[in-house]
Amino acid sequence: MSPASTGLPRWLLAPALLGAALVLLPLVGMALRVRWSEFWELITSESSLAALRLSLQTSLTTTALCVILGVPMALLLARTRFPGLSVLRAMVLIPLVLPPVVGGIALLYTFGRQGLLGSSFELLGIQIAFSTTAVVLAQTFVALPFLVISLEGALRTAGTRYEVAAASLGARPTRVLLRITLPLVLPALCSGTVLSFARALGEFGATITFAGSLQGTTRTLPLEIYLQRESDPEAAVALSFVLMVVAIVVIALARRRPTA
Amino acid sequence: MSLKIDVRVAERDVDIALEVRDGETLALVGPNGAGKSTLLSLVGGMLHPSSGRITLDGAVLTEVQPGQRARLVPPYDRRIITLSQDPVLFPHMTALGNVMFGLRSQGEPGRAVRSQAQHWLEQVGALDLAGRRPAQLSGGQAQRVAIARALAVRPHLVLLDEPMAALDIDVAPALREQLRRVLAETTTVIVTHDLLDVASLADRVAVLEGGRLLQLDRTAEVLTRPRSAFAARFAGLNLVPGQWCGDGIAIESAIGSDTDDHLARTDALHVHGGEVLRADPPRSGTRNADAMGSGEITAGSEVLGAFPPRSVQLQSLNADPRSGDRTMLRRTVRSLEPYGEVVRVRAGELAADITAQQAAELHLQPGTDVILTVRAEDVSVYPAVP
Repeated sequence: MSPASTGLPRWLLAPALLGAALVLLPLVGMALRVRWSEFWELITSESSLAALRLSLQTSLTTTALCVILGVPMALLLARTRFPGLSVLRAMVLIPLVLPPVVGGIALLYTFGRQGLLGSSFELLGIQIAFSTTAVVLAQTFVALPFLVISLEGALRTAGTRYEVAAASLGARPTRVLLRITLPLVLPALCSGTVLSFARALGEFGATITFAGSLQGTTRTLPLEIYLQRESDPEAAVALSFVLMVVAIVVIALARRRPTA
Repeated sequence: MSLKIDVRVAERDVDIALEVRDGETLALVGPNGAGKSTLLSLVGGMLHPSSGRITLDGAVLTEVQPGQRARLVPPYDRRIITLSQDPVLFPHMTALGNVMFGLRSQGEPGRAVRSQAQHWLEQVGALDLAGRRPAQLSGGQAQRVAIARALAVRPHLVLLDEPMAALDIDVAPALREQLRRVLAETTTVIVTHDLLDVASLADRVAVLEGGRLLQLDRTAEVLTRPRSAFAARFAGLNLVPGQWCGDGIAIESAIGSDTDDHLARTDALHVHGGEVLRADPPRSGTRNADAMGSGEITAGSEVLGAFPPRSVQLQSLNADPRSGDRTMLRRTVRSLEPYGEVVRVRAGELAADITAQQAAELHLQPGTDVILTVRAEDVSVYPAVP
């Protein structure tokens, strides 16, 4: 279909192409700077591998946490009615619009040594700030809303008629949830999960504020890239390229239509 | 299983008490907003009354009384199935999987489930569809699978909410027949706007209006002796209230709030005063009269007269020399519409079926005044208060 047949004004093309260029050109620019001869050595250096390993480990943990906490949240937001529900729904979205560094500060004053809960944890001998746990907490803080909103939207769209039918056939709530509700929103659950994984993998601001940058403990890939940018720009570019490839794979996964 | 309902829903102004007898099919009819769907939701447990009690075979399903802890059996423990025009087959399961889901939910042992599910699909003639997904089924096929799924769990009560409304007219009769067969032994409540559903499925009919029960009687009784304008329209009858005057009904006015618009109502009040609808005296002492518990109809008692539109003849206002006669009902034509092989003329609150030739000869059009005469032997007269 040509633009003329759908009746769009031709002048739209210019800003649209400009926008696309703005998104795509930097990626090309970066890809062109990758030194392919040293690429493998750069991304397999000790510090790179440590960062990569930590990033995968924390992001996967975060993703699991998002599913465990986010699915019940989405179900309660979509299927129950209680006073303050709309306020709560808006609050859940806060991490989406909040600068991550602010999230990091908030986490620090909650779980940090002097924080709201941190001093209690301290008494139990658990220190959260500046640990791998802190990385996971920071990532979960920013990634959770992605899963909750995509799943909640799907649950609302799906409606309750199948659940009502299943209940009238004698299915108890847990059976309805596992056999009817979740299978029907599986595509949204999958894309929400992939998106929250991607968000966790790219987390920087909250992590560096709340967890710091200790190699092997809290220095994830984005932190490593930020540090390498000063000392070894070639390594930073190579690692950035790796993250870009991961991003493209994630988009492909999240957009894939479920086969009927 | 007999169902006893006595409920009030304050916010929807519903206050209804009725009983569905063991094994019978009760039809709920009434205009939109009469409370039919509310009643089904209450029985199914999807909605709770502000006060009242619902029991099935003596066991309490719902009981809400002021000052007491509410007793509300959850929907999954009621064994009450609702079938609506939307079959609501689970899209991610095959037809067989859908039927098996219900059986498994009832805790049927794993091995028996498949063969039982196949048995029920066979009962509705849908065994060959077992492997299909709902998306691959036609409306009628999906509805048959939904019926198999519902009956497989051996419900104590089946609620039908206009199950045929979304189907092609070629499919509906076969499905109706199938429903009649498989529901013969099951206590059933059906909500419908379809006279055929009522005539072919229902043992008794409950007429609801404005959240109240207006009439509850055997199907034939409601369809021949309606007690409300809605029931009369539903049965395709004209209904005239008035006082018995020995050889006819002295018409007081058109039936209250149920005529179609304000204009018709005021028109009826002014024009109809003093008219008499000729009718043969009701044969008192017949079985019907006994069943209704009514005594002899005496002059001056409040009665209703019901007659089909085909018993009404139309004449032009000027043509008839006797047009001053009180037994000739003078009305203004409101609308004309083709109705099968005849033309249905709506004049005042009455309807008349005439041939197209007659309509042409009388030059009928909305606004024309006409004289209606009704064959006296076709008017069924019965007490206004049962």
